Amino acid sequence: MGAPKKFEIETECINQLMSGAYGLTVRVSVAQEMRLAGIDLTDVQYVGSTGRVVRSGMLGNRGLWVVRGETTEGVTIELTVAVISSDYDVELLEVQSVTKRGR
Amino acid sequence: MIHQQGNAFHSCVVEHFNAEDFGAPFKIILKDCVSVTEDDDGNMISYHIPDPEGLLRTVVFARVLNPRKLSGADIKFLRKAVGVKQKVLAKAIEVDPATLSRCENGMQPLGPASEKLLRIFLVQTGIKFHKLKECEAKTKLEEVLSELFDVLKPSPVHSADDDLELYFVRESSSTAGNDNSDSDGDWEADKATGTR
Repeated sequence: MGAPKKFEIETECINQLMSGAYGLTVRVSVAQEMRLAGIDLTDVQYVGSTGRVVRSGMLGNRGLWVVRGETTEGVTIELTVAVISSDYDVELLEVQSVTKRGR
Repeated sequence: MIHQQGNAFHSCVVEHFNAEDFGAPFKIILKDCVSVTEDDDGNMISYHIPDPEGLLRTVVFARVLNPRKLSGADIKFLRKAVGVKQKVLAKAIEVDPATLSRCENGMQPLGPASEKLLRIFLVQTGIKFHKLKECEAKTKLEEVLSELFDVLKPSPVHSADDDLELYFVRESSSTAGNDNSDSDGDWEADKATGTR
């Protein structure tokens, strides 16, 4: 049996949350950064529901998580989200492209 | 909702919201269900979409049932919306991955038989990816397959300027009095406004 993965509970939580009916808040500044990086909300949705949490903290009363995952196009991205899981509420704070698969 | 210090921001639900950040090659117009936060000068700071996962599924079904021939950009968007990689889709609809890549890049049209198979695959995968409940999925699948086989006749686009707009609303009649905006119903294609 391998060592337990870090942030397993947070990962399970965000994957479940973003696979169901939650509310998403997107700041206009983040939307602009996304467009420049060639990332859209289908990528955010996919990575949020399949990626894993790699960093965790708090932002006020909200969980502040960085979720890393690969899009359907083979690009690894990181989402920084602030979450109140009991309210099914996710705010997208930052989206970054980490690597791009060579073609 | 956005959490800002001070009171320089205010929120309101907008009548029509163009959900362009989903990256669709057609317009996704959301009616009376997106809350926008603006500063005192009227500049939009953020927007709040209820149930984006359910919205994506509804958009996929609406586009699949729209008779307009799928463009390369449509195929790529719909594939991403149901969370499928290009190679997987190519195998599922029995086309060469290079051919599908050319189709998605607009260098080659997808044949009518492959397009029909693609539409069916998108419905089936959309149901699985978006984890529809069994009874809901069965009803949806029956409705969509029936429409695909009996009603839908894909038609080519005649003018490049002829934009496709699909309208969506939140159906909330069954939960009147519920003040949680994220659980007030389901996304539905707006049949009253339809397609433009």
